[in-house]
Amino acid sequence: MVTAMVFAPLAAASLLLLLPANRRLAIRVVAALASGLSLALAVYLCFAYDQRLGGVQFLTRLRWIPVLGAFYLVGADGISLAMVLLTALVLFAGVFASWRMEERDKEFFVLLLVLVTGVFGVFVSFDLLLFLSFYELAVIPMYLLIAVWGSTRKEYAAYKLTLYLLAGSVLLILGVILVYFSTGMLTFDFLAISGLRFDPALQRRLFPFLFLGFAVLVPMWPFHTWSPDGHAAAPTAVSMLHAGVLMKLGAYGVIRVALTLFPTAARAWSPLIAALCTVNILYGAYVALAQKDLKYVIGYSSVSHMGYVLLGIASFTAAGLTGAVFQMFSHGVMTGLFFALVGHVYAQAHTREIAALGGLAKAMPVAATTFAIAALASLGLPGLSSFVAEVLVFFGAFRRFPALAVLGIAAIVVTASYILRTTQQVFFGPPQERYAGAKDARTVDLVGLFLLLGVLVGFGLLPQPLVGLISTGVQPLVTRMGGMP
Amino acid sequence: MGGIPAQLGREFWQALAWPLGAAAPAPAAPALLVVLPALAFVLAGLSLRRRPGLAAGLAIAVTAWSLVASARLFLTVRLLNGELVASYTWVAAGGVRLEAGFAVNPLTAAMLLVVAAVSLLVQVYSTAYLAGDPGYSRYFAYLSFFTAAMFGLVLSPNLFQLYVFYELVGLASFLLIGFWHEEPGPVAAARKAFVTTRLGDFGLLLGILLLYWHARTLDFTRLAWLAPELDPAVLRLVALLIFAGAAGKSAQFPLHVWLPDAMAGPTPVSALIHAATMVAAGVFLVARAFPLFAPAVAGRLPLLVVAAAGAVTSFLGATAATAQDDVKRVLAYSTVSQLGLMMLGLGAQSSTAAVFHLITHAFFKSLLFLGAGAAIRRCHHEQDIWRMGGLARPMPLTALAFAVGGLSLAGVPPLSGFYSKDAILLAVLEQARGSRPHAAFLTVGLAVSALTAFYLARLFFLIFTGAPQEEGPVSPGRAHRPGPAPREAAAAPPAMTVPLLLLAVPAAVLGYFGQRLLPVKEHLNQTLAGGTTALALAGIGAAWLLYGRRRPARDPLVAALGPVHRLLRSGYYLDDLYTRLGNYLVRGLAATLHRFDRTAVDGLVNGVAGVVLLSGRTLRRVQGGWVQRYLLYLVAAVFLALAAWLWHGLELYPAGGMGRW
Amino acid sequence: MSPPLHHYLILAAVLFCLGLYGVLAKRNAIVALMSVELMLAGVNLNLVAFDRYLGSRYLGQVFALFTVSVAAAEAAVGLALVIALARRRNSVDLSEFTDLSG
Repeated sequence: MVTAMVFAPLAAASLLLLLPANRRLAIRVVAALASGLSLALAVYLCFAYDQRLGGVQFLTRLRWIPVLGAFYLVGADGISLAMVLLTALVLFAGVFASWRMEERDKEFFVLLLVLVTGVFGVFVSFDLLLFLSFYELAVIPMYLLIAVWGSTRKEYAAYKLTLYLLAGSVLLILGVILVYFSTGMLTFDFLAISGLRFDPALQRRLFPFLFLGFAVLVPMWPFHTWSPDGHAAAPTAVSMLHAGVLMKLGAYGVIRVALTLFPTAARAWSPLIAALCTVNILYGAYVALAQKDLKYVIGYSSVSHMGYVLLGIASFTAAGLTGAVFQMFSHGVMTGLFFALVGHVYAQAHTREIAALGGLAKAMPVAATTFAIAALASLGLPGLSSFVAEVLVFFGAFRRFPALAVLGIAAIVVTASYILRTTQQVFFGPPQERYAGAKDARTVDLVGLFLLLGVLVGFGLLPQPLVGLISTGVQPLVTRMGGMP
Repeated sequence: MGGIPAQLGREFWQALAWPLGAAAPAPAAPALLVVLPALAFVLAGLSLRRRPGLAAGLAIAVTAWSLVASARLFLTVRLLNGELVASYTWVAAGGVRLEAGFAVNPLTAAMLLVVAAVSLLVQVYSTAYLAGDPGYSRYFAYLSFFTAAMFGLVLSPNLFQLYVFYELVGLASFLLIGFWHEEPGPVAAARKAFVTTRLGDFGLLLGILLLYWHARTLDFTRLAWLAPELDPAVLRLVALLIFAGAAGKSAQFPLHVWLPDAMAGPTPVSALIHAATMVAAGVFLVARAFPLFAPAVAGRLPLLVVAAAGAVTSFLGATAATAQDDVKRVLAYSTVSQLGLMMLGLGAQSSTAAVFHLITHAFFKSLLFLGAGAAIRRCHHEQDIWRMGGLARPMPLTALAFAVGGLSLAGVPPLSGFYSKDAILLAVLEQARGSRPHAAFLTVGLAVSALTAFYLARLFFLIFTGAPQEEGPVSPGRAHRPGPAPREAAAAPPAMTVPLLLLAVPAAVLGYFGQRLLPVKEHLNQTLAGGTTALALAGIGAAWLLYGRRRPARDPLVAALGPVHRLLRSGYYLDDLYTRLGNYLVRGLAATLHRFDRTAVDGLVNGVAGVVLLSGRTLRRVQGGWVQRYLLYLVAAVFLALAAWLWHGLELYPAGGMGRW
Repeated sequence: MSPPLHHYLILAAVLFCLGLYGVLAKRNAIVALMSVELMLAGVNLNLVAFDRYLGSRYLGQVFALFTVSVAAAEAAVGLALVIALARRRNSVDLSEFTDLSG
């Protein structure tokens, strides 16, 4: 079941390769069907997961490279399910957001689907080698997608992004190899490895490799500049996946690998991590305030919001970790929404310069409303899912690091300031002549927008189903770390 | 068949029918107070965009139902003399359990009643005020949203839910201030309001976190019970943080600057949100969390801070109100001042007096705003009182209602404001025995009484008496706002006058009856009552001398007070100060960090990339693109490796290792 | 009696080196391609000879057959490429193709 979900996009990608490039509708339908299938399977898995039982379920174990002790080992626990659901949602919405893609659309969809296979794979792999392979599978198409289909300084952004991510993966590969040899079992089977307790001294040496490797991807300050550049340069659907999902790979890796394997070291390092991610939160928010390009505002807001994820993780409390994973989910949905709308605005107004935009609400009321709701989610308004996430993070962080938490929470005021300023400058104010002909979001766009919007509001009002699911994944981790409830 | 949905449906209908006379108590009725307006919001916002009449009708019907339900709840609670409480887990993760539910007790039921009544009247009034506005449905959708959020806030059984709805009413306020979103003024005012109140909410959230990890509960009932056992030092901090939240929403110094600007919204909105209900939420919050403020529990400091902030705010507001020329800004500063007075009441340990004043204030201040709105609309959205005048003749009912509201607020007996204001001053007086700060507060309170009477009388005389003024050109930004039809020279339409008259009734008599209905302990103190009445009359008299007897061409106070008048007019230059502070601290810091990000952080990265690039340029000479040469390199490398292996490597393998064949 | 193993090996090495020289030095793409075949022949000879002399049950012969079939495919693709190049550039001179230059 998990396998089917992971490889549905890849199968669709190979099918697309067989289709002639001029069958444009067929290409889109195949991509939509594949992403729809993945979404359906992801939803089904969330329901089929037995929360009382907990742990990793839906396991499939095949021998992959027996000589190395590497397996094709996939499964899902509460955390992976939340991430898988997020990926499927954003992919589905992203396919619809790129419906009107003109240039080399076939190749675009192929790469998009390959990328998503990689992302799905990372979230369900329970074998370290498989994990890394899927990880690379996700990074490479990203380079092509930005370098070919991007805008503004796309080559620079693509290089920067890829170099950063590859530098991260060098650390990861080193870390994984060190782990591989230090267990004495010569296996990549994560379930077996995570059963071990590593010697604290060893933990302290190995933790930085794995943590930093993933933290680049989060992105943690000061390794963050690839992300706003990447966001800004990438085409709409790629921005959606990039900010919505790819950044979550880092945080997911921190939780799944670094924290699970080296709880003692993580605990020792956590004050430093908490301090750095507080910098993330405030710094991202302030820099967002100074941006002039709409996409850069969203890009830096992501830096700020992902800081909350790390803060929740560093809190070592069940509430904080649950909040962190929930924040990953809801930030993904929210940014997906943001970038879909920014893409729409750009397509209609041909600029992303905030100062040049204004009064768009008259020409595109639906897009304006949707953007406003995403903005409200971004500033953590109750009733939308990011509020739940942030509050849980705050509860967790305040328990362990009260002073840092106060600084982090103070950012909600700055966030409110820049996000409202941006929304108002783009959509409100006197309507401008030159945008009178701009079209509102139409049927195809609405599919994705309303899906993401529904998720944002739905889990904002009734968060417990998802919170419960995530908790089942977080709880064993907290017990293992000897953290606070 | 059916199961949970069927049961939910059944409970829904039972609760819906409950206020209309069904005898069986319906447990879901309080929840419907939130759910129904929320549904009205969604429906009006989504599907009724082209059916404005239906959107307004739906909103009004729902609010009317809420009014009946609130009345019935109020009676039930009084009869029970207890509390209806329900609480469900909303989110539970690890050690954090957040609950949602409702609590109806005399305090909350009275608030419900006030909110429902004022909402209903404002909505009816708005049907006429905004007739013809292109955003008509959107307006009523927002109003429904506000009603839902406000009910949710009032019904909250715990501090967390209260925070949730606190933010939501803030959003409603943001949306409604910026309702005319094509004009730059309202848009900026909306953002200012939201961000400033959020500064207070930040404090409230910190208070909640601190309290939760200390007491492990946020439930008001349980907190009241637990409070004496908690650490006083922590509670002191919690109480101050909660007050920060209250200060933001209730426009207390130094966070009050957003309220005068918030008047950029439509006038009915100012009446409902920025005079009667939402701005009182801060006072309500402190009253609700009052056990945490008790001196026995948290020490004297928190209540002293509350009282001091209230006194300062009240004085600033009252003095600034005397120097404004925009009718809505006068009323806004008046609201600031009255909210300060309520806080002063809370600080004097009398939450009953504060809530009493909150309730009467809700009626007469919304009455004043709606009356001003009628006058503004008739003058084609002219808000400068020096360009209005003589309106009593064309709109006598409006003038009458405005006069009742004004006299009530000025504290002239036997109108409502007199009773509630005196209750507060009496509480301060009781505290003043043996407490020097409270003696100062009492002086401030008395001064505010006189000032209040003065600026209200000034307002009345300039708007309603004297000769009609020539209308200036309508400011271009407001040209699209709906005004009266050209021929509609006479009084305001009945949809506007009827709510005015209905509001005038409680503004006049609620004080007298409320004294009996609400558990107000304090009885009238003859000396104090006589004193405040004399002060109020003196204020009115002074205004009559300056503005009423003969209408001056320009404000005599400008010349008389000079720079002091400019100080008052600008609201003590606090706005300018904050704007500069904001520009330097926030924008400046943001720009600096942005440059840092581009130069330092990115510079490092680009530097590393530059080194790689340079080495690459050097090495590229090797690659001429001639494939055969590449191959030659390859072969050479293989031969080198082979040679190395032959030289050393034969011994690398143990005997027999390679040579098994 | 068959000749000893090293005779075969020397022959194979000569074939391989001739091929290598061709690949590295000849400018004509077709000649270079034929030289690749020559190298493969050398390798195949090695495989078969080792198989025969070390008695590893036809494993080497199977490999040699495998190589032959792959070589056929490779030659087909290679010639197709050369034809495509000739059509495009009107030349099969390898020294003229320096597009990979960075």
